[in-house]
Amino acid sequence: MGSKPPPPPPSVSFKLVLLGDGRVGKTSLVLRYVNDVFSDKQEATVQASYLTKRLVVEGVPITLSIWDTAGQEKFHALGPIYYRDADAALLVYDITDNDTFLRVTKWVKELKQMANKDIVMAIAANKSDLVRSKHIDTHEPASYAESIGATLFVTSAKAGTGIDDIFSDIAKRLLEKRKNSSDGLSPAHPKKGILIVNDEPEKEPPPKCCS
Amino acid sequence: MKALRRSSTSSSSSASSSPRAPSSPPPWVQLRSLLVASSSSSSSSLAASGNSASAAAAAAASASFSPASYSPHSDRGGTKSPWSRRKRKRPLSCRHWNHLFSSDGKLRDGGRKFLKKVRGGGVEPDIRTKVWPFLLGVTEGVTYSKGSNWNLQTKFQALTNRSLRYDLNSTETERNVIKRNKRNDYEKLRRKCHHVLHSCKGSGLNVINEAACEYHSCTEESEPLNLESVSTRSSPSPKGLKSLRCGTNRQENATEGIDEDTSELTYVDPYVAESESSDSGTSDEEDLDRMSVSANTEVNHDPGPKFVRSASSKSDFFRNNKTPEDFATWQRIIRLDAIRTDPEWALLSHNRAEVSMEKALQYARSVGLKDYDHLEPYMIYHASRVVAVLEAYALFDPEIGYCQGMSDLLSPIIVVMEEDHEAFWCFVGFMRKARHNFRLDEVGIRRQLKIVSQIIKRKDSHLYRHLQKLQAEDCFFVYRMVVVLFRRELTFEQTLCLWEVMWADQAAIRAGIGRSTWSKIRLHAPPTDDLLLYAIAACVLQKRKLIIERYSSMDEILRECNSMAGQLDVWRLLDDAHDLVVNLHDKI
Repeated sequence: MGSKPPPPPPSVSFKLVLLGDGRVGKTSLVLRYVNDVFSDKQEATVQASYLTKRLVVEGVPITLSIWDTAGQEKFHALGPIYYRDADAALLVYDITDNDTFLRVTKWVKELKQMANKDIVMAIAANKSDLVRSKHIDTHEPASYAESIGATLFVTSAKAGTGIDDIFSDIAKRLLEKRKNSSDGLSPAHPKKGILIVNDEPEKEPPPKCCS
Repeated sequence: MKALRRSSTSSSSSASSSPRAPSSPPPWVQLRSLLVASSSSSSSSLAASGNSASAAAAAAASASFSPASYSPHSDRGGTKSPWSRRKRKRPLSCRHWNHLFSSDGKLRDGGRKFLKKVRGGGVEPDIRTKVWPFLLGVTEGVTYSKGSNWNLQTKFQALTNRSLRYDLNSTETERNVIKRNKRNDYEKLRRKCHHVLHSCKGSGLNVINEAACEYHSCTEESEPLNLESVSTRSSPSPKGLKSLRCGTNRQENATEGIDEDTSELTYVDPYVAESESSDSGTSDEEDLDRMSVSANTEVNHDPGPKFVRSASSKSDFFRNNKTPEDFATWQRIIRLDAIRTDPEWALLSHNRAEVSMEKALQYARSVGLKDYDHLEPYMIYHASRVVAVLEAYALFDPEIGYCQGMSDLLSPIIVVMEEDHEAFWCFVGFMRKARHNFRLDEVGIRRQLKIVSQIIKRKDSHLYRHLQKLQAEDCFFVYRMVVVLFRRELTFEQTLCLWEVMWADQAAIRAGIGRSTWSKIRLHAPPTDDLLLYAIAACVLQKRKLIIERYSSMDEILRECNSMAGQLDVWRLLDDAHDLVVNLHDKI
């Protein structure tokens, strides 16, 4: 397995889906997180796009497969395709637009009914850079998040704040869940969405196993 | 949705880099393909690279340059592709274009030569502004529907417009008349948009929502904006009403003065309307009346099938209350999307340099653009134009309204057409077919994905079986290509070329050229309404090896498709598509 000594522990893969209204910054969040770039002219996502990110949590290398979906309500019907076997959902809203938060609550309802029962949820209150006052009131969204077992983070894709935090929080919770559910991270436990990967994706095709 | 719903299987996630297809086949591929072509007379499955190359070989085997000429050496059903490397035509030039017209400004031979030329090589950039309205059938049958207050004059105008189906047979004088009328029509739509925008100013969406019922009860008595159209009228109850939610008594009073002509411009498929009238033998007048009635489904006078469908889907949709999108929502999303158009596209506008900050800001204010401080003047101007046209379209075609992706289709038109009203009618022409991509019920998308799937199934059963194994045979992974017609995968110039070729094909069909004579093309590779789908299938088939050998989930194929941007060669795609059309057009 290891080309670099010492051989790293096997990487665990999780599927994460981003949901939220149009133009709340889903794509921007992902691009900031994965490529550390930001464009205020980010084109609207049609259908969905896909990116991966590797990170290490508590010594375990993790690969997040991130599905970034189209926001407009018209594309809502495509949602199930992406969240169906997602391990986690990152729900994004625009902190300056309350309607987009309502959309988050709609998604949560749908996820509760349709998605994996143990799906890990997090809410990103995005575009914090647009809020002038230093004190950002997220009292209501935060209590809502708590009520559904999610965590809320204030983020800004533009300023690059809060983003690493929210993704690593998701990763940590995913890992915990996985540990609790399977007494470890053995690849022999063929859970959906788990995959062993060993190398940088862009450079070399990974060995295929346990799909 | 049902067809699209899928259980995406395991998320085997690690990205494996795909061998990038070269934008054009290197010389050795051609050489090899010569061997391939001479050793086999029919290719049953497409090899990842051998395919287009064999076309090049076929082309090389013949000295003739007529697109329809028959070559026994070709492995492409006996017809050489007009888009193969060797046979590629130069785009339509200004000189050639002027030559195509007779002295009264009429296209000679009903536009056959014109369409053939465009089909073979596209259009030179400097004459696109003149050519596109022809390709997009802008001067063809006017799409009219109306509400009340239909006075004799407008009726006459509509009739005149409708009967002047001069498409490719029009004289210059006729076109000028139509152009003037269409300009007025567009301006009317804009005035309505403007009014809606300003009457809603200062009130947030919530306020608009609250006004919904009030608005509806008022519409019973008067005709304030004529925006409610199909959706509102078919809505079963005021409480379920989720259509245009903008209006109070005050606003309506204001409307009366502004809206001097309450005739309503709404989307009616001219071809459906045309066939209805001819099939049923009704006069144009009856037909028009029927149309105006059919827009108001409360009075059911046997409306045309088009309206039955749209009305029922709309009312079902509102009844289910699944997607409460309305004009106000569309206005909001249109503005958000307009300012995030790919700036590289706007950069290509002819008049980019002429746009002063002052002009841009003035336009932006007039259409209510927001959050554009970070943009260059030309981008602000471009975005404002996008807003103006999309908004007018949402009024014009309320069944579709606005859907993300439509701005992708409009952007190139805005860049090419300098006048908004021309851009609008070109867009309408484009959307005649593309609008089905944005229907809520996804019927259009599903149909197209199915065709792509069938093409692949018939051309390459091995690949198809692999897709089946991955539960990807519904070809969901080409969704984006279908929705925005390769716009995200191709460069600006490539997109325009592909679209022009596609439009020429569609125009040929509308003009009946495909059914009558187009020399031997008719026999071998007739113009098809679905050229795009063949091109998409060709695009997938070009990756067959990669897909079969390396990909073990739909996710991976989707990722591959989403990362094709900038790697495709549009002529090679068309060349491959041609091969598929030749072999499969009568089987799909």
